[in-house]
Amino acid sequence: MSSTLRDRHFWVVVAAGAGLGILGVLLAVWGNPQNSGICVSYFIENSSGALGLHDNERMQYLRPELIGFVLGSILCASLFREFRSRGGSAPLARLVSGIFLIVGSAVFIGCPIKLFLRLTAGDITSVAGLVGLVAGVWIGLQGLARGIDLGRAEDERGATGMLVPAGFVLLLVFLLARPTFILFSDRGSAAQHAPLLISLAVGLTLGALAQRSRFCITGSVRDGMLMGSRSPLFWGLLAFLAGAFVTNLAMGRFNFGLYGQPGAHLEYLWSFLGMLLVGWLSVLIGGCPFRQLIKAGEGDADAGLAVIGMLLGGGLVQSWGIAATAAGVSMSGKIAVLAGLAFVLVMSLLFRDRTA
Amino acid sequence: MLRDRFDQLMIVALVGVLIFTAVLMAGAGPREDNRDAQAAKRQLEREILHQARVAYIKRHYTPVITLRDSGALPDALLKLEELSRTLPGEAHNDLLSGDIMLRMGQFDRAISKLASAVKHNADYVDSASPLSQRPLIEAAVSESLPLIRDRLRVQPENRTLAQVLKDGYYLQSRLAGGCE
Amino acid sequence: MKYLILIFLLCGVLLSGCEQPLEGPPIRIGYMNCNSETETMQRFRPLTAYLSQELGRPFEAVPVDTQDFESRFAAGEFTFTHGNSLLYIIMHENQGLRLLATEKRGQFGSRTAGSIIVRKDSPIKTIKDLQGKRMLFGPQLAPTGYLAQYDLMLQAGFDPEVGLDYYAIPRGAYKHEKVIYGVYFGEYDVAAAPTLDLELMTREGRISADDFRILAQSEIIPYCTFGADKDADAELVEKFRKALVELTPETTVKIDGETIKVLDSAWIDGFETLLDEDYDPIRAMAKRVNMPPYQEF
Repeated sequence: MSSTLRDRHFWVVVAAGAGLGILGVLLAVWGNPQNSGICVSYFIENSSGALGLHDNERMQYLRPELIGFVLGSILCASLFREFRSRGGSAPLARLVSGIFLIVGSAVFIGCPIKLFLRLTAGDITSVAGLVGLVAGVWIGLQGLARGIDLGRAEDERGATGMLVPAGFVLLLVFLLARPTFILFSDRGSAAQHAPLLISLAVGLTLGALAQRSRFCITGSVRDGMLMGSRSPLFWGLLAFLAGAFVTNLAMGRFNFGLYGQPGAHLEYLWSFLGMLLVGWLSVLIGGCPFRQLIKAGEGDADAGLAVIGMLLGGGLVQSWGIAATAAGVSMSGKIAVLAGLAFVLVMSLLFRDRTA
Repeated sequence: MLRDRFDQLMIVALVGVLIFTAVLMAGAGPREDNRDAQAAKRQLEREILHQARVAYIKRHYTPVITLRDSGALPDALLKLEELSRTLPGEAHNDLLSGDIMLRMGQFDRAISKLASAVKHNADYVDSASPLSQRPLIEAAVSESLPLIRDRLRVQPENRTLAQVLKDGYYLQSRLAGGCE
Repeated sequence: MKYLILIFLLCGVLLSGCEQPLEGPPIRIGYMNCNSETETMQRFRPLTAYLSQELGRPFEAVPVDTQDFESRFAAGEFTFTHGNSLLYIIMHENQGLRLLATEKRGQFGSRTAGSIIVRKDSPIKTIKDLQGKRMLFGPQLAPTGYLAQYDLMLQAGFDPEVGLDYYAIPRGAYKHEKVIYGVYFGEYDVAAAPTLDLELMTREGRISADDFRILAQSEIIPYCTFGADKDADAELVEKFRKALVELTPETTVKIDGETIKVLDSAWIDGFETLLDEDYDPIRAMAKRVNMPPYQEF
């Protein structure tokens, strides 16, 4: 432990975790919806709507934080010479996984980051999602231990890893220039947002921190399971929890209870299954939705495809009524989660190396 | 990279395409439907749609509101019944019905109707919307939920009330905010 | 081959399980006639078939006139009852009828009310103005077609026996509708109309809300009610109640090869379990109006 404390990387991870937790709460204080200061799946759904991929007028906003995550990551990776174009590992499977990452999150109402933001704000309905996420990560690890492998990413010629970050630069231009074909809600939760420059700055900072630290929620849960307190990511997660909890308390946003929680429903089974799907997929494709964005910024074209899948998923969950609301989970939401579980099961069968 | 004629041709073509794009964008000049005007138009259309909806609702439901405000609550409910024929599925019908039920002391029905209204039109819990009815919904939730909970303690097997309680929690959750 | 035979046998066993014969003697349910026997049977045959299917016992529907309901129940003609809330109170007080579930229909769910209505253009503004007027009532044992309005007038200090010039109860079927049309066509000045009937007729477009003014509306009281004989098997009664409250608008039953929606067919939105004390306002009304089961001569 003492050697760990002397390790600079350890402190970068802790800073990333604490930063994500504290700023996740503060962004809600500054204008983002309650408990959704940072929620990658919600940001993706908003951004898909802004790009015209769905027509829910209350869910259209090009979230600056999302752009910040990718651009912060590429800037940091370039600065530290860690940008490397790579890809070619089961690209289509990753694209579809990206879709189902958003399906699972939308049914739970939140990505793994928001799960912990909800938890630290006293929303105990999120415990079902937490159990699901941990179960999903555990199942994913069992699969990896038994030979499931999507294959190694190879260095790619042609700088294909630049394509997704370039796309996000374009999104930044759209955000600033606001061309007519980009849609912005003037009501509903998408109309609730922190000031643009603050959101962008927070996104860039967290993107850079996450790139340096490799911090991600499911990764922390995974490493916590594998290595316990020896894992820096585990400490990063604790820093996230402590930061978010203290900030929620300090800002008067802690509301302990089961009922009447913002952006939450009472269908625990589906919260569990939604997050189980997210946890499982995240282990197989090497990171939660947030981590996919960061990796895409580092030049990982496979993660970039997962991000594109997430954007498609953001459109689909709104257009097909898959996303859950406080009223509960729709039939199409339930079927989509089951389809996702079927997909990950098939993937586990098809990508298993049985030679060992 | 520029080792042969093919590469050079590609570079020249790329530069050509980029120049052509820049010229097209820069030289397009002001048009009748220029970008700013289009953006303003889009915003205006949304605003008009909103105002039209508010005006539409006001026009159709004014008789109900007049009856409600004069204290003729049963007549107001009957008028709502009639309007449900011409405006089937209109969330405002549920909203006013919930309002009247609350005034009549029918807390369980009020909660169910208000929850149905918000499920169909979330503008009712949106503070920024001209259709916002947050004070009404907040009052309904704060008055009704303790009564419904008390009743359920006596009659835990009452499924109708259990559903009403769920609707109450739904409204509470929507009032608390969060993403949709 | 032997596996094939086994599969056939298994299918046979499973299929025979789907069409289990109903056991025991028929259990009779008395349904109060609202308008006619034919209509009552049409409405409640699917519900009765559903109960047979769910409980595995043969139920039989018996249409019963309101006036005869208590005497026929007392005579043991049926074990379960479906009638208005006043009938429930009468049989609860006199025969110990047990409360099962209350029918949900219309704006107030498992509850409803009685209204005193006049034409929109009527000079009558208050109950006091009814002095010397002609009024139409629903049947005497109708809680929201007679009892509630009679009570409203007494509560307002107006005795209909003395104050009204004349009052009547229409003959034959569809009494509540006749009451409403009686005022609509100007035959009578005022009528005692169940709020639910006003609501349904407005919804169906048969009357307009603008044609009438509701002079007064009663307290909101429980609607039609299922009850069970106090001596009926407790387990069976509980299963009966459960089957009722589990009904959803999608529940269907097969009758003569036809799939029918149970609640739709019975004109019911669902069932709710109420408490006996929820019926106390009706008891208070019956006492004030001097009606059964508290009638004193």
